Order: sequence, then C-alpha cells, then structure tokens
Amino acid sequence: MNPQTIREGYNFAYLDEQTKRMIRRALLKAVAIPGYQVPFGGREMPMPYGWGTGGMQVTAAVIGQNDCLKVIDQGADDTTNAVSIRAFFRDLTGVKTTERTEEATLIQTRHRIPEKPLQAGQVLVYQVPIPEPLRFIEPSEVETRKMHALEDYGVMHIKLYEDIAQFGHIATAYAYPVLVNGRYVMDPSPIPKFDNPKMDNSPALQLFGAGREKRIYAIPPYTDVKSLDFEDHPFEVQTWKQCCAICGSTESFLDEVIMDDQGAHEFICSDTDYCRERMASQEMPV
Amino acid sequence: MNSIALQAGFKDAVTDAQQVFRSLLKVMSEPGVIEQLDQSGALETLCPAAFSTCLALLDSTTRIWLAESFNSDSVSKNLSFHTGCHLTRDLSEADFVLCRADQLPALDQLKLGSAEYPDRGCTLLVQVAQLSDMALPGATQLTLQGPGIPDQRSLSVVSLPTTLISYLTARPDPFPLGLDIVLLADNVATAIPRTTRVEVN
Ligand SMILES: [Zn+2]
Repeated sequence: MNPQTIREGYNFAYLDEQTKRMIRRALLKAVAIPGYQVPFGGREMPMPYGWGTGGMQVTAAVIGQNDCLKVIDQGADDTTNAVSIRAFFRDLTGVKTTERTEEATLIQTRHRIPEKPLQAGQVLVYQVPIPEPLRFIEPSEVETRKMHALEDYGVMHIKLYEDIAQFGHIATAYAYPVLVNGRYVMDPSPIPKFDNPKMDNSPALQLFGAGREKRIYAIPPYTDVKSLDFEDHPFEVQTWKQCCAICGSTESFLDEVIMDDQGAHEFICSDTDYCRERMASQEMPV
Repeated sequence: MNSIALQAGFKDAVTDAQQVFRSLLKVMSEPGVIEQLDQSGALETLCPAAFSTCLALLDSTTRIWLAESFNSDSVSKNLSFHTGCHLTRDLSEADFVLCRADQLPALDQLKLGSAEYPDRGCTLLVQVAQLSDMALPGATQLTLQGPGIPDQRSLSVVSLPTTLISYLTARPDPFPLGLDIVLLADNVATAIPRTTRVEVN
C-alpha cells in the first residue's frame, strides 16, 4: 500500500468503523446461512443507487491493505461504472488494482462472473438491484420471509412453468433463480443464466450486497448451487452459433454489437480480460 | 475503589479489525480451517484470539454474555472501554456468548432467532485448549462436512466439552436455526457454523 495515494480526510474504504462492523457481523451470519438474506442497516454511499452501492458497502467492509481489487461491469473493466468504483476504492484504500481475474483477491461485479474459473481464496462481490427472488409474486416482505421460512417455493416453479407453456422453453435468461445448499431459493443478481453453473461448488467465496433494500447474502466456497428446473425441461445455458469476432472463442458469453449504421453486427466476448488474454496468447510467436 | 488497569487493544484499530474480520469470514465460510488471530494480546485469561475477536466484532449495538471465569472486573471494564459493548447476564438476549470450554452455559437458553430471521441467533465463542488440523493426543477428532468444505475436513480440538459435542452431533435446532460456533485457542481460531455436519471419530 502506498499511503500517499489515499485521499486525505476520509476513512479507509470510506465507511466508518461502526458501519463496517455492522456489515461484517451481517456477512458472518450470511455465510453461516447460505442463500438467506440478512438485513443490515446500510449507509448512504457517495454514488446513486443503481451504481452498486450494496456491492460497494460489502467491498468496503471486506477490503484490506493486502487485497488486489478488480471491478467489472457487464464483464468489462473499462465501463464508466467499473472505472468509477475502482478509482473510488483505489483512492480511499491505496490497494493494488488489476484487470486480470487471476491476480485479483477481491472482485466486485455487476451482471457477470468472469470466464476464467475463480480460485480458492478469491472473493467475488455482486452488486444486487433486487435481492428477493419472490418479490415479483409477493410485494410484502412479511409474506416472502414466511415463504422462505416454510420453503414455500411453488410459485417460483409456476413462474418458470408458465414460460414453458408460453414459449416451449424456460425464457428467463437473466437473474435465473437458484437453490442454495438445497434450502434457500436465491436471486443470483442479473447475471446471464450462462454464468449460473459457475456458482455451483465454486472454490471462491461469493458475497451479495443490495443497497436500496439493505440485504446481504452469501454462498460459501464448495456449496451446492442448483438452477431451478423440471425433469422434462432441464436447465440449459445460452449458446451461440457464432464465435467471438475478436478472439474466436466458442466457450464464452457473447454480446451482440452493431458495427455500422447499415445494421451489420458481430458477436464479441463480454469478458474483456478473457478476450484480451486469448488474443495475446494467439499473437505470441510460436 | 480499586482502579482497573486498561490493557492495549489493537495497535492499528482499522487495519487490525479488518484482518481479524477477514480471518473470521474465512473460518465461518470454510468450517474447520484454522486461521492465525493475534492482532491483540491476551486480556487476563482471554486468549489473544478471543480478545481480538471481541475487539473486531463488538460495539455499543451488541450484547455479550461472559462465562464466570471471564466475568472479572478487569475483563468487563476492558471490553466496555475498547468496544462499548453491553454486558448482559440474560443468556437469551446475548448476541455473543463467550465462555471457556469447561464453563459452557445451557445451550438451549441461547438466542436462536426465528425461522423468518435465523440470522438473529447467538454466536457462541468458546475458548478451548488447542486446535489443529492434525490429530492431537487426547483431543476430540472431528470430521466436518457441509458448505465450505470440499468432501470433508478433519479438526482436532483439545478440551471440547461433551455437551458441545452432543449438540454438534445431534443438532437439536433444525436448519436454518442453529448456533454458529467460533473456537478460539491461544492465537488461532476456527468455526463450526450451523450448516456443518459433525462426526466424532
Ligand atoms: Zn473474445
């Protein structure tokens, strides 16, 4: 750490110690009850909701001098959101930052899980807009708490089955609900369902922060995470006929991009670090 | 009036608290893993790991219950001074219970939370004689399974009380209820949260 780089007059990682302690106690309960949403008394962050204030509060409570931080938004390290959050923590902690997944000890993300498999010891912090997977059917928190307590998840299956009746397949493609440790139905945040299998038995610790609703939840490493499905309609991830127009990958999550005003389009990796590294290894002289 | 000597807490309150928390997060999310925890010294009979845990987690919004041997003027004054925590004699309202292995309170008196709010349950901090991932002579050898554990993990605990062993193997409170237990020995710590299935070898 280089203390010179830390902005003066601010607490380490912005939050005061009492707020960090409260979030830390919530995090310890969250990992002890995988998939369960722990309420916490969140504080305002100097960024608007929708910018990942829940994820930022979790990161602020977790981050230490020895961490190396990566921040991604839709898989990219260079969007305004990712750049701002990374600069915020760099200026208020002095920690090292990186764009390389394997170098990071702490990764804050919105909407993606990196393509490169995460390792033991890494912590992935998700920014969550709506933490309650049952909210679409039940607006009352008292009722959704009761449903979780009773494992009353029939409505979730009905919702998915309505998809099948209407479209012939499960149309839910983002924030696809999962069952954690065989007990709690959990919203994985708006990641593509392509990423859901990466959550299952990951060696990394996964933490989720919702700023507006002030909820924290977690998946410890090596924990069963199953995407909800039906015997006759098993869970499937997105696939593409195309490969990445830049690196040629056929195994990554692809974004469709418009190339010109004639409407020509291409598909490229949403994970910029993954794509760049594949390109670099292809350019290397043999 | 006797004056009570104040002991030093963390050297660097911000950094030390963060490091202790990261170790606790590690052991709570990977049960049976043993982490070094010595960011503070001992406080009387409280080992460094126990005192460090208190310094990192307690404040004026938390209530702690201390077992008899820890409930001295010096310990309570120091904990109040450094953290501002409330000491309670009512087990059922304690957020944290701190005890030596041979002074375990009645576990069925501890706060459990509810099915809607299982996070409101008590965290039980137990100071034991020794912890190791290798079989220690005279120790209780545990095999742990569950979230945070690939396959299974061995944990060897010297002076693990029989009532705690029976609690862990019987799990009388069905999940999501249950006690989350942190074991502290000298300058190391591990945890056995409510999700861990425990077998005694
Ligand atoms: Zn690519």
